Amino acid sequence: MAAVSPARLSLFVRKIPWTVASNEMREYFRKFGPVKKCVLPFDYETGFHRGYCFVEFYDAKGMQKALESNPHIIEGAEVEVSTRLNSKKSNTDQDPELV
Amino acid sequence: MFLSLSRLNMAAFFRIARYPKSSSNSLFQLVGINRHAPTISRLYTRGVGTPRLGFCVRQTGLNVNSTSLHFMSCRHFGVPLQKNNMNSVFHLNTASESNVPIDRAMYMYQDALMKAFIGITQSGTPTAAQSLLLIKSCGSVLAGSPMAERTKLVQDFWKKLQELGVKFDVTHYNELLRTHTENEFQICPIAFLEEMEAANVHPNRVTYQRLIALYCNAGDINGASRVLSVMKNQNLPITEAVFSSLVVGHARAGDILSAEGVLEVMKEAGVTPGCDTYVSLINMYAEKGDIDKTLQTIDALRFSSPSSKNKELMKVIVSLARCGHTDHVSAILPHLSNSRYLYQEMKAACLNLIVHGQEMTALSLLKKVRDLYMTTSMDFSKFFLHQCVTMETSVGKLKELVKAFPNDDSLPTWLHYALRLALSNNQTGYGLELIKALKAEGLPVRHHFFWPLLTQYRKNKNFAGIVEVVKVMQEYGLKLSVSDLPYFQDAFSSLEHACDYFKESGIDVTFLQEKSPYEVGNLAELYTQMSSSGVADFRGFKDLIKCFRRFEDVESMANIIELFMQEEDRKDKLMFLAKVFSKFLREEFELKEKQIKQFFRLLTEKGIQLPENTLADIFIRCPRLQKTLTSYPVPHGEPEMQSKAIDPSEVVKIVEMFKDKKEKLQMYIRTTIATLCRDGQIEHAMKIKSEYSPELIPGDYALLINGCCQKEDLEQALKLKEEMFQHFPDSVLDLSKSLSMVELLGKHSRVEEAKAMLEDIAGKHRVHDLSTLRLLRRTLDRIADKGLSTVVEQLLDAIITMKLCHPGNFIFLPLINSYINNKDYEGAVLAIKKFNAKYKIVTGVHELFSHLLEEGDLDVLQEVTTLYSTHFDEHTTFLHMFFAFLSVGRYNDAHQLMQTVDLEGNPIPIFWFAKWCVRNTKMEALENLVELTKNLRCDRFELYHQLICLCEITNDWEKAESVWMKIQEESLIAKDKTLFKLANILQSNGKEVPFEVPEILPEELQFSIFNASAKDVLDLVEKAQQSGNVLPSITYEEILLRILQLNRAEDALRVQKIAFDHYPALSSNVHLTCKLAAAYVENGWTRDAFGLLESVLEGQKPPPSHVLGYVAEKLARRKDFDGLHKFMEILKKANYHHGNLSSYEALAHFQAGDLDRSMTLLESLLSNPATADRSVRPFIRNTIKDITPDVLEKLMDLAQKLSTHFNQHRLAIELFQAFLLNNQIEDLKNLITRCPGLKTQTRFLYYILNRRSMGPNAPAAITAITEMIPDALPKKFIYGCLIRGYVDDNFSSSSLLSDSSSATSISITFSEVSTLSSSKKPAGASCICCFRDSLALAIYGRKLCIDKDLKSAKEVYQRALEENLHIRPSFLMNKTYLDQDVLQNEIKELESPPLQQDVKK
Repeated sequence: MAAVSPARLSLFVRKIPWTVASNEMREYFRKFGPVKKCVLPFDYETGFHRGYCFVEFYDAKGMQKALESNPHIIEGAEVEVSTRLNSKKSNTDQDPELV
Repeated sequence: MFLSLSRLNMAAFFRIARYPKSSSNSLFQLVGINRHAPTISRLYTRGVGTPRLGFCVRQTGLNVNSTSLHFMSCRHFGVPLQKNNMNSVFHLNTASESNVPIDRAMYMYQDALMKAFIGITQSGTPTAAQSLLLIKSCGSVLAGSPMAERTKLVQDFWKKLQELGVKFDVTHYNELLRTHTENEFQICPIAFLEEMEAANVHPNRVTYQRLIALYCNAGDINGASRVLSVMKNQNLPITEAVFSSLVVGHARAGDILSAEGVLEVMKEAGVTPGCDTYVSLINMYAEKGDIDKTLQTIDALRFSSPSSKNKELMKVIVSLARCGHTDHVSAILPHLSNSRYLYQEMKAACLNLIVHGQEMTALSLLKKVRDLYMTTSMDFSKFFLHQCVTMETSVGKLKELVKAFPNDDSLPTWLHYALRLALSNNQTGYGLELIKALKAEGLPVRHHFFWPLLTQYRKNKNFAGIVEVVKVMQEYGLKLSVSDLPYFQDAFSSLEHACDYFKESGIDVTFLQEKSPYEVGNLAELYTQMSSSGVADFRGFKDLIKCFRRFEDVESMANIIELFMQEEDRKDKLMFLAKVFSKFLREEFELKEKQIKQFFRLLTEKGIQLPENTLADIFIRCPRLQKTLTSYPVPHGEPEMQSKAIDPSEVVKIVEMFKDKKEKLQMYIRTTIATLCRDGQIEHAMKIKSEYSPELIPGDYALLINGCCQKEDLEQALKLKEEMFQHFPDSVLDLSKSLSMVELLGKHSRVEEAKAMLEDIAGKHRVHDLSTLRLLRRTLDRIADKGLSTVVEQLLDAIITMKLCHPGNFIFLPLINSYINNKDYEGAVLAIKKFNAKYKIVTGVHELFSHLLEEGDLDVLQEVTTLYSTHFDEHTTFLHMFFAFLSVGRYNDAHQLMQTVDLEGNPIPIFWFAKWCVRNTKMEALENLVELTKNLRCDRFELYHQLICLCEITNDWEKAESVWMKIQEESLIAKDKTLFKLANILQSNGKEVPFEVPEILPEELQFSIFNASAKDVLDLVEKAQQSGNVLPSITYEEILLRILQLNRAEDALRVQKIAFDHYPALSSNVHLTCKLAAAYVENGWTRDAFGLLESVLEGQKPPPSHVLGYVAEKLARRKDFDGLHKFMEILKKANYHHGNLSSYEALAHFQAGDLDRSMTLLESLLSNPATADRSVRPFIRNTIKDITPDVLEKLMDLAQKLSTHFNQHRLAIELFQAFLLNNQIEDLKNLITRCPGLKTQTRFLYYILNRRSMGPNAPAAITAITEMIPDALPKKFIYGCLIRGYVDDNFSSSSLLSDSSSATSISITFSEVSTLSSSKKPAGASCICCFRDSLALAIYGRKLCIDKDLKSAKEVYQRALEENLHIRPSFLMNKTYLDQDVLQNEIKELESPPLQQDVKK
């Protein structure tokens, strides 16, 4: 199998409650599959995070599973999970490897 | 009237039936409810402009969370949220339009106000309107702040504004009084009046009213009477507001009976007690705790008008709670009803209650409203918690309150929310308490809960605070870790400092002793760290660049780039990559080439496409890389520019056109016909047509047809059309001409033919755009004016069935108008019904209503009303009925309608009507509209503005003045543009303007500073300075640049001082300061120049070296050794290396006549390889003309030595260039023979020749060089230079033609044409002309048009005519770039002489 571009293995998560940090996010998404990377940017000016996060899985299976299981509720708040924002391409042309 | 209306089967009219008389005679007639409520919808940027805005607000109103409101309120203050956003600052200064919604907001938060205040004060002297708004905002609108705080705020504001030089006028004092009254702050009225007097401000009616209110609020009836007698003495009218205050005064003084008696007194005085008075009375009952009377009066008030009384009820609740009658609140709550602004009103009341410590009452109110909204949304109650947190309600009580909230199972969520609020408000103590509560509830406490607190302390460099927080963290078992580091690290001078400090405080810092990933260059570790914390705020680019430059761990590098690519604003972040590649030495590059290639390969494998500008930047800094990465796409520079200028398809067309020899004749014919048609000489045009008929093209026919249509000569037009299609079966008549024919056919009632024409249009034209719609409307309008309703109807049907446009109001209106013109109202109704059935569209509301009311045709009116109300809603129908009453002058009916029907809602029709009144100069109607819509929530400013506009049109200063008084009484802040107009009216009538006229930059000036004369711009600055106004910094910048352009350094110095005083940040504007410095040096003001340069050098962006060179050169030429040395010192201090400086020193010595020293300096410069590069140029350039033969010989020797022995051609090249520029051909020959190595320096030769070709006498010089070094450069390049040289030399065509060898071998290419075009000289035309290339000439002409160089374009055109080359005028006429009229005129002018000749022939 050819290397899948990380963008295709990444989820974009929005509306994350402020109480949650990177570790909790990783912990939550681990149940769908092994998580390679979890980026939750913080704002150094305020000390709060920015409410969104990128979660990259090791394989397409985990990501697909996470995408399919809706809603995602983390600490009482529903978060929005979508494929990577900037990879509109991968949204339109169906990736055969994902199916 | 109303009897007829009441027959209508509508709910609202039942109300009229129930209270048929009360509306006119009732005690509770609604006069002037002074409600300071905004169109909340305006707080939404998106909501504006949606037709059903009022409703959409109610639904979305719940989602307003505090943050968005803060943000919005900031925006509406016109405060730039981003300080560097010059534009917003600009708007803030010039126009205070944006204050509208906040001025009428029901509540506002203090920090939003503070932000607005800071924003306003930072941008210079606040305007009068801004100051007024600030003062006003400190009143009860700050519902969430305690009164004492509000008072302090307004006092601070007042003081600060005064310091900033705001000149307070009577409106400011009035507003201050009002704010004090609202804040229940006791001031001494006498002292206040004295203060006013001292400021030379005369109190007016409104001032006295406010003073009475102030006295009454304190229950001081005697004081109030004193003011009242003053008012009476001055013969000022006593309005309802005064009586309303007296009610309060008597009641607060404990005499409720007298309070009730005021109503009687009022009636005796001829003032009808209105809503205000009753609300005051109700509140007084409430304060006394007399719930029965309160309810009684409320009932009476509720029946008096249909609009909702929620706001008044909320006031009552607050009054009750504040006076300790909380148990009575439950009696009021059931009276609340669902209304449009209920949520906002409740919010304001709750904030107020919480401030007064009445959380439980607030909660009961919240619950009641929540039930009315039937919502369980958390957003609904968030503001409540927000306020509790702001007021630091004890955590125990907070928990209790939260438990009563809708989702009572979500205590953790609420606590988290409260904690977040406390953290972002920097309430450390309260936040820690909340964290404790969280722990007690068994909820987790995490590292990042403490980060906002640490961040705050970091910013303040509060070490103790940091340690305190860290200790609390440890209490919860959270050990300091690397992830906490960024939030406090900056506070300490170094990591060691932090370590020591923590150790002293007994905190474990072992993690800090581990090495930072940068230091060991461990990119992999850095990557893991970055990937967990995100790169959005990554700062360590300097270290990162260092790590990257090693190119060791390529994989991690690619990973890190990937992280950056995920960022939204990656462009700025990725700039560091360019820096990685900058100043890469060749050896270094070759050494790492493999890794670099691998790095880019990895990026490609990862699917990372670097942004084009980043890539371009990298390639610019490291051109070698571009060669190495052949597979990488190379960004091209500005490909669009060229393609835009030359449209290939058009070029082809033109070529074909030029092949045709008839073209010229046709062109003339066409122009003649066009002119004749325009002048209405259609017969003459027809004569020409018949004479030249074989030469005619479809366009000529179209012109003729149009001419006939204008003359209403239908037969002729039809004949022409037929003829046209006979000759040109494929031709298409353009839309406007076709529609003119339709119009003519319609007017002759030849509907079928008109329809056929329309069908033709539908088949041949691209329709459905706005211009088509307008044309169609115009056509129909004109037919409708003739009253041909049936024709209009049939055509309209045809238009819609043929899908020429979508069915809509705009296109239907002519039909209704056509019926109205015939006074056939029933027909209109029938038509409306028919179209409503077909297209679900109803139109012509206002027109029909007005005419029907005028005619008094009640049956039809009823029918129309029913029709409209089934289509629209009740509200819109009544609103239009209301407008119709106003426009026909039946104000009483309008008033009654207002009282019986709730017209609250969509405000957009009201503005439409206001503008309609201005257009039709209906002053009375507009006045009544403004008066009657007082209690509707719509933009009062705009309405008053329209009123003033109308006063301006009628030039009625008395009316204008009375309008201004009304504006004050309503406590509105007039817009700048309104005041400006008002002042204009007063001034033009020779009256005194009692306020400061706001400075409105004349718009023309704003946009044309670059073309303005020095006097104009200086006037602008002066005016602004005198009036205490501060222009936006961007304007100052533009002005300064313009002054410099005009070479007026003295003015520049003056303006610069003013500008830099206002905007110190301007001094870091490199472009501007460098230009200024250069100008100053030129004038010998070295000190000023150095001051500027120093500040630039201190800044982030270094000044461009050529500027520094320029300065140095100026100094050197003036032999100013001191200045030069000082300049060097400055550069040295700023750590700025400028290689050429010694050369300037040499120049200075040379100028001073000290040849030896300058030569030694030069030699030492040249012998040092580090400085040899380019360093002698300034010297050579400046001295070559004055140099003596022996010095020249010396230099030549030196050049020869360096060139032959050291392969160092720099000096030779510089000499070569200098000789060439000065046309010293002999010296040049000499140099080339002495330094044969020069020929190999093709790069420089290209450059030098290129430059030379733009200088004077270029052709001769270039020819000479090519003879000297025949084969060093390619022929094509030489010829290119020659062309350019000829062009710039203003050559005549013969000179190039005589140079036959070059003329034959050059074929003009596009690139050369564009080179010629860019020279923008008519000589270019003659150059192209001599190649007899009409295409090139046309392109050239067009380019000139695009550059708006009409004169040259004209010359090109003329030249083309002379040379017998065809250029179509239309080709020059590029409508995208040019004002067509101007050009058309120009071309007409051009064409007329040859045209006449032709015609004669």
